[in-house]
Amino acid sequence: MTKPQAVSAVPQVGEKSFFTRLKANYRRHKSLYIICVPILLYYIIFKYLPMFGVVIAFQDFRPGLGFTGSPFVGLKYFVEFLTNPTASRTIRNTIVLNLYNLAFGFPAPIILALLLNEMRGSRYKKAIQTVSYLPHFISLVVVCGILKDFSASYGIFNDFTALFGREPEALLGNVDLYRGLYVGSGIWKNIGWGSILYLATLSGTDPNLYEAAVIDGAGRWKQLVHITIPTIVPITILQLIMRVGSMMSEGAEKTILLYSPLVYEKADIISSFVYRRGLQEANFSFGAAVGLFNSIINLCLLVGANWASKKATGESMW
Amino acid sequence: MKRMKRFVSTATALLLVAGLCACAGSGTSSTGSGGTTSSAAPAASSTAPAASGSTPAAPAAETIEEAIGFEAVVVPFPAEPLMKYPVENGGKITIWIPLQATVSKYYQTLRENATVQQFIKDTGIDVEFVHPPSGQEKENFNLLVVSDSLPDILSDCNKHYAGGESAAVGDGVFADLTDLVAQYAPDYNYFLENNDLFRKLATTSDNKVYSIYNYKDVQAPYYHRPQLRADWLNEWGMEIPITFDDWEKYFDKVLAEKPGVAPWLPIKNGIEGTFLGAFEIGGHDNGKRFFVKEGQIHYTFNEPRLLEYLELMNKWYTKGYISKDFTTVDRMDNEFANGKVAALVGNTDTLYTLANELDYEVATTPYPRVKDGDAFHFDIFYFPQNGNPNTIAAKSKNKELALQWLNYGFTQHGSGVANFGETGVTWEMGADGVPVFTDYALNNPDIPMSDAEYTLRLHTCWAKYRYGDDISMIRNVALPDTWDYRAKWGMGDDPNPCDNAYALPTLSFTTEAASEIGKLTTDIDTYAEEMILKFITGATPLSEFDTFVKNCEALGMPRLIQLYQEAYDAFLAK
Repeated sequence: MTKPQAVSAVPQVGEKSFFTRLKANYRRHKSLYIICVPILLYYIIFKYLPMFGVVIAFQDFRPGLGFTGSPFVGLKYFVEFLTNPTASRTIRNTIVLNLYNLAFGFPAPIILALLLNEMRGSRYKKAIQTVSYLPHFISLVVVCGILKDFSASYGIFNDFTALFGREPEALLGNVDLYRGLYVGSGIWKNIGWGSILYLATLSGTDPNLYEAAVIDGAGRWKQLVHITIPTIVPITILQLIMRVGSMMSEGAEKTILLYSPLVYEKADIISSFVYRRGLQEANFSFGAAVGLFNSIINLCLLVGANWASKKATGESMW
Repeated sequence: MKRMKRFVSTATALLLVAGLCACAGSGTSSTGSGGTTSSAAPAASSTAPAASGSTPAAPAAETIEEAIGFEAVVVPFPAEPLMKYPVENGGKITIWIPLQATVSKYYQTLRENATVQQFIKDTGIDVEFVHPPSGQEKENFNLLVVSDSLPDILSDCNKHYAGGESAAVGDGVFADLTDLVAQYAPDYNYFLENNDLFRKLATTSDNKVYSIYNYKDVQAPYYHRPQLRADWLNEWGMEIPITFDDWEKYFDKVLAEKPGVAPWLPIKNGIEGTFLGAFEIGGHDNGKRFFVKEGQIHYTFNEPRLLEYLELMNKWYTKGYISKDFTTVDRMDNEFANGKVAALVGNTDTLYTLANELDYEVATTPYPRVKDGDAFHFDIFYFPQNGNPNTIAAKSKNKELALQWLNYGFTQHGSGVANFGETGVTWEMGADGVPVFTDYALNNPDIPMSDAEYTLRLHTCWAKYRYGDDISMIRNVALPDTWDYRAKWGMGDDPNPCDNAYALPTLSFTTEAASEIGKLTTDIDTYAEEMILKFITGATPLSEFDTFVKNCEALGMPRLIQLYQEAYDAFLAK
């Protein structure tokens, strides 16, 4: 990565001030700095400047009056969200769904990557990889459409369970199965794509390690436990921390495509509630307030997870 | 190696597709085993209407006109248009209007439509269109508001602004047209002056003109009706069902004779307005949960007779009459057309056309009743303010020109263009001053009839004087069967008493009320829609109904009704 800090960290120039060092460094690595400019601009224009828009969370924002003219209402929309009768349910559902994702969705690509890594036949391996990537390129709308058809009372899932004597039913209307279908379809869609990262990491493992282990009499299982897994631990922890840091956010799209009022009890998450309340009513302030609330909790979770990981394993993001 | 990879990926893609097809195939073929199993389920509790002691007294008003104290009038055009076209000082205006998906294969902007070209020629005003991306109308509109780049005319945008039109005028987004209308839209103003009900509905509570609405003073039968398979009825020698008992006989027969077919597919939220109407609650359309009875606003969710409806639905669900998948079906028409469903409430035009294409027979039914002789109070009434509000941006420099453009659709000739298309090409003026389609429009070999409605003419555009659908839609004129199908039980042809006394006119709310209604509605709907589906499927026992009503009230239902009542009283007092 061509971060200016990283570059400037390399040559240690005595006790001189930051700007003197920067100047000297700039002269030496002019082209690197120029390459950085578009990226910096991207972050400033598209990530930092829009942050000021968060003021609408504290306003009764009316598009016609703009940021400057809309009346200031303080925490009105935060209170409105938290005192809403379904607020606790949507927060709980969001967290539980994310925990399910963490418990089942997170390890799935790692397991796939480990399994693929153990395979010898390279053609067969490539074929499996290609097949497992495919669902990633199918639009979410299509995936949900397929899932809806499959789980309808006349769908293939019911044909299958009928073999075991189960009454056909609309599976997506069954509140107990909803989370399973939601998380399961997510795994199907993302397992292959998610495994790329781990496979790439594994391909960098020094073959000498395995050779040495074989000489020491380690079987495949021992090699896996003592060489392969430790190789991917750092990247796994990084991924895990980031995953925990997005615990409160789960996009509304998939939920809106799959749920019905019948399964609100377990399906209605924060973002789908905001969609119904904020966007359909054109109430942007409410949406912004909930978004900000989520981001703050996510930030706390991220920092907390990072701290915990640093204490426990020594691995961390910063 | 590379070739190998390509081969593998192609092969897997093919396999995937083949797999999907196989799944779909096995899905349909095996339905036979599933559909019949649940018919043996025990009957649920009785749905006898006697359960509710409330035998309503004869309603005070027979019709909506009586209820709101107005007589529906038909206003003829003035002898000469009040505004002269083309206008003297032409110019160019911009119009924000969503574009129908069906026409995108013919043109990308409405300006290419021949009808619009004639509008431009006749009025002497040039136009440019701004079409929002389909499905993102609300975002697009609000983005234009924030970036201060609104076009001159905004078609059907009031619903996109938080708080509606009065909020938008207050915030300086829409212009107040009150002082301009008489001079620059005199033909529109003529209808405001000559139709009291129209004036009342199309102006605000303090008589301001903010929006230019469609005007329509003719009535027509409603297009949203219960429909079922006529060929099956004939096969079994059955009559068109009227009461719920009749419907149940039809459903029983479907379960017995047509394995794998679900007898009835209700709307996905289970709140089927037409069927609720049999219990004198709810209303016609799914969205209309408010109705007015003897001057009082009622809300379906806390009506005692909702319990009767839920008992019936629960019984039907338990007996297997209701499709198990009803909560997840988005395209109801397709399910009916595919023969997976034996009855539903839907658009008569669409379903009749589909039935003709796919070669089976369908029939509409009268509004269902609990028992023969019951009255139905939710028949359609087309208010003269026929929706489609068009506003003008407050910062527009062409307000006068924009009004003159909108006004053309309210002149006798201009309304012909706006409703029927290009003069002399798709229509000619009939002897009685009513336009008539030409053969070119009715039998055009190049354009499918469903598309012709949007390409040879403008079915939806900016505001206009509207004619009845029976004479102004190509399909209804070219294929009178479609119209007969729709009209079969409408307009006084219902064998039982049928009126529109409970219909609620479009109400306008203050900004504060609109915002409060938004919050209350989301809270109540989230709770009530969930509970209603649970009552229907039996996930929650019906004994919980009282708790349900209490919870709805705790969520602010009385306040919601009060807000509507205030708006309705303001409407009456105007």
